[in-house]
Amino acid sequence: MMFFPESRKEKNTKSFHPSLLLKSRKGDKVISVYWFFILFLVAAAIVYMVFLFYGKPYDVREVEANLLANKISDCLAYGGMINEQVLTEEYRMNFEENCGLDFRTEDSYGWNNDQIYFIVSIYDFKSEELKYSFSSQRFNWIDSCGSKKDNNPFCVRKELYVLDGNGNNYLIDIFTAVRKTEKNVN
Amino acid sequence: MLSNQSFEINNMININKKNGESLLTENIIFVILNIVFLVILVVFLYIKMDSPAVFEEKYAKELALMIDAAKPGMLIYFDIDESNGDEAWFKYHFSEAVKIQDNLITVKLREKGGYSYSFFSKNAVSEVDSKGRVAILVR
Repeated sequence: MMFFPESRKEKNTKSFHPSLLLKSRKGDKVISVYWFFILFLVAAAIVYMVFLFYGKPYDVREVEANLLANKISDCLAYGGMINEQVLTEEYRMNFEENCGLDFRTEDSYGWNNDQIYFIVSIYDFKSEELKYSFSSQRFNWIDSCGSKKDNNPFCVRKELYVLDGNGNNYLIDIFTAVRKTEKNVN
Repeated sequence: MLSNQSFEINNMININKKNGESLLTENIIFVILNIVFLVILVVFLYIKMDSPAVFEEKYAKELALMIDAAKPGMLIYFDIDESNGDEAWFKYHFSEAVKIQDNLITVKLREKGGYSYSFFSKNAVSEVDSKGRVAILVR
């Protein structure tokens, strides 16, 4: 009482009063809980995104379907000229063998060597008449092409304009489809 | 009176000291917990990004597409970074890292694991040299 004047003593007592510190500590604790709650939310979001990104396989079906279409076109024509062998029944019957294609797939997911497909249609360019058409044997998802659902096959269509040795014009339509969704999407 | 006053002030200073120490400890624990949290998060991300399973799939699909894109007679060399797999296992089993059977390529970078992907080109054969380099010949 004698040490400080009354008003000053009150002020200093307030500033040193432990109850104020307790109040401030309570506030800190509440902030800490919120802080950890926000950290937990951020961590959960990061973990979710990581699982979303690394949980999904790389989707290579588009590249695969394009490569198949390119490989088939190399077997059908070169330098704008049609491979004359394509016009023979025997070559078309054994096209996969002649073109070095093997559509066998792994046994997983109940695949039955039916995940890759192609169909080639050769038209007379002037009359638009279908001259020849041949395809690989098995494919059950042809109707799903074009649908944007992830579990549908990825399909590619390419057209070539070619000539034969006699100057006849042909339009070759190559359609390829790759499914393999279990290894590329899910 | 003077001694009472002095005792009161000393007492208050002591309380503040204790509170200050307690606050400091709490803050240190808070900071340490935050650091631990962040470290766990970074370690999780690192483990996920560097998982051999991810690289097995990546290599298998890349090699399958390379084979599909290759013309007959092409020779493909492919270096596998052993740090992307189980290094201790890979060191003695690099010859098992890439296998081609028929039209199925299997990449294996750890003891328990492996990823297979099929390609549509025929007649691809692979060989791994002593440096762990993969050579794939498309006939």
